[in-house]
Amino acid sequence: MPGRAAASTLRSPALSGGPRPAARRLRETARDRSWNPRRVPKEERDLVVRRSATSTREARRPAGLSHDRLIDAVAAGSAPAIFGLSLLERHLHGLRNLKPAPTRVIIDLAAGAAEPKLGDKRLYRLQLEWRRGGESYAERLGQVLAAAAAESLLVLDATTLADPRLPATLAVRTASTIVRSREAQDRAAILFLADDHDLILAELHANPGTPPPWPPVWSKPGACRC
Amino acid sequence: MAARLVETGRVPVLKDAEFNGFVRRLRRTLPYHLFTVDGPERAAKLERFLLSNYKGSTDLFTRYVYPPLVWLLVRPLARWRVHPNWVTLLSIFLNPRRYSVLGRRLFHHRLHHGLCMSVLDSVDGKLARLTFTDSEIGNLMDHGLDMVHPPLWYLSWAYGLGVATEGWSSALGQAAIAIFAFYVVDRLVLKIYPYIFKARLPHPFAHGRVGAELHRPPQHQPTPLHHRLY
Repeated sequence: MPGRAAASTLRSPALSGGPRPAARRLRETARDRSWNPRRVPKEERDLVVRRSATSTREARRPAGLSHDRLIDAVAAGSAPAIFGLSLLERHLHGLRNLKPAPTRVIIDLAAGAAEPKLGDKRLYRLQLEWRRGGESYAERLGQVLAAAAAESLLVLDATTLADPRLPATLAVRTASTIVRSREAQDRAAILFLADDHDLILAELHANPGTPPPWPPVWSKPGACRC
Repeated sequence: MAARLVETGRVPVLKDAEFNGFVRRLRRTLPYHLFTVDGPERAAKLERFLLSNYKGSTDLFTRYVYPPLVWLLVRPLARWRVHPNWVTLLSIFLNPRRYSVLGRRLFHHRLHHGLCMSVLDSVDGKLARLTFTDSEIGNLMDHGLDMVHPPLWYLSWAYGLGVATEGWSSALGQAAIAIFAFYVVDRLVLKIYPYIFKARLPHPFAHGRVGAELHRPPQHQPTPLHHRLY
């Protein structure tokens, strides 16, 4: 009986007014760099979630962790599959397990490219948004940033093999962060932007024609970038 | 752009210490990976790298015999998009066949059923993790089979070795019963211990300082990709 549990939680003296110890502790824990939602005791997690419990997923986001995630993905079929799964599918699986789920997953395809079929129907539960355009990378990223407003953004590339644990690690961060490959000669990167999009917009305005920091193959038509 | 943002100090880079690499199911701490895939050769290397993130070796078989077999099986199964639960079901199907074989003293002829089952046991878990198809029911079937079949194996083996003729009151029969009983007690202890000590192995102190030290990710380690390939 979630509704009854939520009501009793709201009536409890500890949560009826003033600072809520459990909520405060969760927020403080969230600031911790090594925070992992599974390590927060379940009863405390539930307290914070149920405080604003409704039937919608949007309202179930824990307080203090309510940043939306917008993932820009530009896909292409040029990259080989790993164990039968395309790199785009691997990225999406990493995002599928995120809690809360990302609000949108924007996948940028090359102009005229067909929408790739995703082998796992669970991936379609994500709010996928397929885009096709011939604009440059900077232009497309600028468009997404402008539309994202204060939402956070995770920028992935569909020619990289990323650890599926990374999105969850980045999602709880409050500051923009870059993840680079641990191999010195590998230029793979993941960019997580918190709400400070001005930094990136300024960088894009300062260097509008510069190629992305990733290998040149991604700039070719048909290449994918997410 | 990412490089410029880092060089100018506008956006920090994720440090190793900021990434909690402990994987509970593998009971290992694995640093994160991020690689460019720019061709089939690189993809093949990365497949080997992903497969090398094994749970760990506890004996010579899991160290030297199983990995090549698992590699041979996982690649085509993943490409054909075979669900790991089918592999587990096949393993379950082989299980009673193996008991009947052992019980009829034919284990020297068809003992490969046992080997097949143990290899398949490695394949299904690996396949599930590599293709993101792990599920609760698959986990239950896999670990349930792991838990149930050893005592049946002991009893059927003893039956085939001589209990069938000598009876359960013989030394062999008594030894088989003792092994069975110890196995059950061992499993019970593993289940009861966490409830008694209010902790969960193998990381009972995950919230405290001890856990932080135990599960602190390795720092300043280069990517061991070329070391992990076999």
